[in-house]
Amino acid sequence: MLNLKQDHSTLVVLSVLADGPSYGYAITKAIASKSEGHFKLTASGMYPLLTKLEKQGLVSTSWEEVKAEGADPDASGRKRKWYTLSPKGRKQLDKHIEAHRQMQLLLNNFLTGNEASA
Amino acid sequence: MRLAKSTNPTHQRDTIESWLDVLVTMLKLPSAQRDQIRDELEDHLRSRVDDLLIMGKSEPDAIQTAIHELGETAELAKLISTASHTRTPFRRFAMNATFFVLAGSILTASVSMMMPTSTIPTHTIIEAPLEAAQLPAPTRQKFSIEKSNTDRVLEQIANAFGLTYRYSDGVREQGPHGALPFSAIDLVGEYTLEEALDVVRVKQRMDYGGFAIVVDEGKLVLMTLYEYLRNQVEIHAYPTPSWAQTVEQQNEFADAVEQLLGAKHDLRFTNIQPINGTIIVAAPPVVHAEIVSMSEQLNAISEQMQAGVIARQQQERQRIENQVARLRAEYESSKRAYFVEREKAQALRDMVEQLRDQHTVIRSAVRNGEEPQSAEDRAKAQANNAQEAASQQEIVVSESKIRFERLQEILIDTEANLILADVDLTGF
Repeated sequence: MLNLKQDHSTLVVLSVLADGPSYGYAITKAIASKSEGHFKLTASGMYPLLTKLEKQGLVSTSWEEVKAEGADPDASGRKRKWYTLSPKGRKQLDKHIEAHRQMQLLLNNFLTGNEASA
Repeated sequence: MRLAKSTNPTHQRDTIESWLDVLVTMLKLPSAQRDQIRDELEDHLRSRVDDLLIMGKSEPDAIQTAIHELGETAELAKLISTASHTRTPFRRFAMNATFFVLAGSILTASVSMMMPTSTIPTHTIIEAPLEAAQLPAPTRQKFSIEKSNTDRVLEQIANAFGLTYRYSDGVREQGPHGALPFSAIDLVGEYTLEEALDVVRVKQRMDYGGFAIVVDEGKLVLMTLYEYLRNQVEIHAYPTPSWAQTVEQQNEFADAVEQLLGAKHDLRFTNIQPINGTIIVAAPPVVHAEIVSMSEQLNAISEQMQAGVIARQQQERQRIENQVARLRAEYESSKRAYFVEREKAQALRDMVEQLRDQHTVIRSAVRNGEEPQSAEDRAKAQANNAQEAASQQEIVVSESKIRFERLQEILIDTEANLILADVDLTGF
């Protein structure tokens, strides 16, 4: 089992939001789907993280009213919080991606070295 | 505005809202912020329930799964509260330092031991680590205190780490010097705040007990254990075991948990209440830690109680089975009696018919002068007597029919109870 750190959670959430605005439950589904079910960001990991990203200005938020199908049009629906990647968040994501690529390159050097000697 | 699939039935609203009520009360945040978190989690739960319903789950199962997937309530509330607070790095450090090891272990361990294993995710989980993981390494300070008293040592530790040393009201009432007599404490070398305090704690436990040292909001506070426990009360929600379906069973389980805790802990500040399928525990962290650590005992209790519930249900089934057997015998006997009485009634009716015919023949003979009047009187009396006996028998038949039909109804009801008892037994 992979033991992923908070950095990875941030990277994963920001990259999901790079595809477009999303909300909590949809983010968990996107993560499960993109990782083919290998990763799951639990609610106790995700909502505090989203709060932190909002506080850091990496995402902006907005609220929308959602109604059940067939519900009374005059009745109030439930509220949904949408998260949108901010320009600052975009930069942060780019940094994460760059750091990840550098790490990957470095690791590749070791791996290819081993392959050659094997 | 977008459209969601949920029809939001009453049951769903009630269960989800009850859970959200519990969570929101645990959030240490301003009410506006609490409302927003409540709205966001409600949307999460209802969206998840919609998906699970589409996947073919029943509504109660879908709701239960959605809530379980969100994780342990107290942990979620604590993490959201922590993430929502903005603190200066120093204050954050000080706050985390006071949590000792206890708080962290409670949060991370949660109460998965009481959750059905099927609800615990088996795949890789990306966890956002607690804030403590981001803190810088704790600073160390040099001390050269020899054979000094507790009060003096604590003051020096506070000064070294930029904290203000003070007593709680409880300690002040006892008189700090009276309560903490001279104790020869040595503190020589480099220590972190926690290490230095541990030296005092160890000594204090050895010599006095009944006190606690707490670091919070830039203060190093010496308080009585009573005050410490009272201030530390936290509310956590623990799911009841799946077998505890009825309120009575949930109460029974909560009582067992309380009894087990009471064997080791002072429960003056502990309140255990089963509410709506959840056990709400208001208690100091040490008690919550105990609940987490005593998972084995709780599981044993659960098994024992489950076995007890099954045994009681089996006994109940046996009782109903015996009742059915007894009723069936009575029913068969009453059926036979009814048929016998009905045949008797028929025989009497036939006899009445026959005697009436005889009476008619004799009456004609009397009119023709072939028989005396007394013969007709005798025949008439015989027909009337038979009619009287037939009427009496009809009453007997009617009574035996009522008894037979009543027993039939009771038997059907009791057999239905037997089927329900079987459902309860196989429901586990």
